Amino acid sequence: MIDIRGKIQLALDTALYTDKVFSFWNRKVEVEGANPDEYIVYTLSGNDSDSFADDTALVKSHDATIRYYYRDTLPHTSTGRNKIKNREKQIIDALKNSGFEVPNGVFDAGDIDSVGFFVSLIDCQYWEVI
Amino acid sequence: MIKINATTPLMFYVFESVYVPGEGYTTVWNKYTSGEYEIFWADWKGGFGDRAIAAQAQGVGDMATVRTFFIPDLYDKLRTKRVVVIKNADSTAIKEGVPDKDNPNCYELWGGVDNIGEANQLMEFRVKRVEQI
Repeated sequence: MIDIRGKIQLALDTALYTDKVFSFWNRKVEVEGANPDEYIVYTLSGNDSDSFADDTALVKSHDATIRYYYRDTLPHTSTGRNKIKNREKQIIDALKNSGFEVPNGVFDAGDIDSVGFFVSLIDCQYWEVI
Repeated sequence: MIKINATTPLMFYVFESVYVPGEGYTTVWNKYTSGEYEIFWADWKGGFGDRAIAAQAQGVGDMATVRTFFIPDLYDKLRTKRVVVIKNADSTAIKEGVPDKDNPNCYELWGGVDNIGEANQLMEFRVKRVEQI
């Protein structure tokens, strides 16, 4: 079975590492050199078999949730707001370029962890032909 | 002038992490050394009375106040990074490179660190038992 976690990590790092926007699986960790205003936490939310033939699964659907965190002061300026929207597009493009589907786009979830960072939620799927 | 009775040997482990693009982060607990020294002597005062009661109210059952000599680099690490303090320089308190939270000599900083009188001579900090790594 494909390593979906590794695929997400590679996709996000390829697109965002140059801006020091680091991506973490499950939990954010303090890392030296990280962009202090932005980071990503992603979680995997299932991999169900989808299409069948002769009782055998043909396709698996891997689901994941990407949480893009940005400091809650960034939206205070037009430059900051543009930066956020551009970053969201960059994340979606990175995922799509790695073969993921992004069916629902971006959802503004607010400061869900009460840590002074707003969150943009992006659900994505990867269809693996078995 | 403040005098201390530094009779307790301590070791410090600093939590650090590096990020490798495409792989994610890797964390490591590095033993703090200053030149050739890795054991530092301190005045260790256990918690009792008002302080212990105040700590209990915060859910802290085991705490102590530590006074030791001012080491600029260590002071900086205590202020900016997660640091585990190993009482009695207990070498069994680190298991496979990770602080053993079940070891009674494994403490972490609690409530900041003070450069006493900003005199760059002594520093004081409180510690509590490590409960989660």
